[in-house]
Amino acid sequence: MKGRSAKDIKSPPPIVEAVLDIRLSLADKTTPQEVEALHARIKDNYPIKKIQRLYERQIRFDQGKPVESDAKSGVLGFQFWNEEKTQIVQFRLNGFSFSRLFPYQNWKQFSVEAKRLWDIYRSSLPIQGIERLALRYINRLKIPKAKIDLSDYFTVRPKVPEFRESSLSNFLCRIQLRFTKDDIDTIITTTPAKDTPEGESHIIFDMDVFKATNLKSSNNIMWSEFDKLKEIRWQIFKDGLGKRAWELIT
Amino acid sequence: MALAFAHDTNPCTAYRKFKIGSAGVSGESKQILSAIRLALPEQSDSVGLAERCLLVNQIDDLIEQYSSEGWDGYEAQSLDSDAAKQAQYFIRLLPRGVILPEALPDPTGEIMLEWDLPQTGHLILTFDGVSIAYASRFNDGTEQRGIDPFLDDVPRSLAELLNVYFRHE
Repeated sequence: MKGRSAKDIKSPPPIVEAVLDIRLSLADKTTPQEVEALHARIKDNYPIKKIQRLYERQIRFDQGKPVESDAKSGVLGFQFWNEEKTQIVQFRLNGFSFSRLFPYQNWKQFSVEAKRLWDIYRSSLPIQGIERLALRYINRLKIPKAKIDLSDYFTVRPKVPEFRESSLSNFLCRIQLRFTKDDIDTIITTTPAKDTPEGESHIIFDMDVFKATNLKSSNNIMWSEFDKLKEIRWQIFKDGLGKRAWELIT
Repeated sequence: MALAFAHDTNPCTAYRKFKIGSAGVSGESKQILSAIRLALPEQSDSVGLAERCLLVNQIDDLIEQYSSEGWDGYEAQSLDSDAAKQAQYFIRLLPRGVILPEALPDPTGEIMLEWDLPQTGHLILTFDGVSIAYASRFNDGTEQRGIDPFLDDVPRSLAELLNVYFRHE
């Protein structure tokens, strides 16, 4: 939409989670302990640790029937949270993620911290290949009205005929687009949010922008790809909001 | 806007439509994940869909039936509801044409899906809420076992096994 600028958006923006996600493969011999050891380098800012578990069992066969099973637990990775529980970094055996929850400040602060944490991850672990890059922004629009016309607020929405004596009580609208120029995919989802106070309408507007890659290491190419994802995300946000939604947030 | 559907003839990936998306930790991301998992029937085959629904409902029955500790008369744990949801979601993602398994409770609290065909072989999957462990032995002498994180797709190794050994003729 013409004339819409990020500078017009009131602070804080309606973003409830921004995620920078990198899926990759590490050398096979990488252990969860090596991943966990990275906590020492960030625990001043991210003191809270949560384990993401994997579970393995061995099933032995006797004449085609399972007779016994041994089980042992493993670990997929770790989440590290800051004290305020607004920032979470995930160091995993299959990837890296950084999340900023509400209130989101701006791209610069988000990306600088993501890069700082990524540098700790990539400099310590044996990355064999980077397979997917993603930026996901989940917005929660809080509309101070119980009854709304979705077309005033979103361009990605279900279109429903006006049946007599009926109202739309729930929906899940999800589309996937491919931006062919840069081979970037995006999934856009809108749905009513849970725990909406009476008298209001809260709608989740989720944009997941991602690209499959075949990078051998992290370098400037990776970050320039993230810049492209960011531009697409902004385009979708700007054009995905209807007139009333834009007025609400500016 | 023009619609361009990419036709995917690879049976291992053709069922893959909407990906679940990138990692999220907020309540809103979990709400969307849960809604997508319930709303993703990959098949247009209404008969196959009905059979899957029956199997999904059977797992609900298992949870109810095996909800107490010691249900086997010994030290069995009650069935884990996260594992059950994971198994139900997996069933919905099964490629078209794959024979449906039997759902069984495991004394460790996990849900097992079992394929056992005398003419083909045996495959067991177990779900713990986060990943899938599998073990198989087939009549052609092949044995495979492994463990894969289960995020939003049937792991490729499992999809290939199912398509090779457990398809309807």
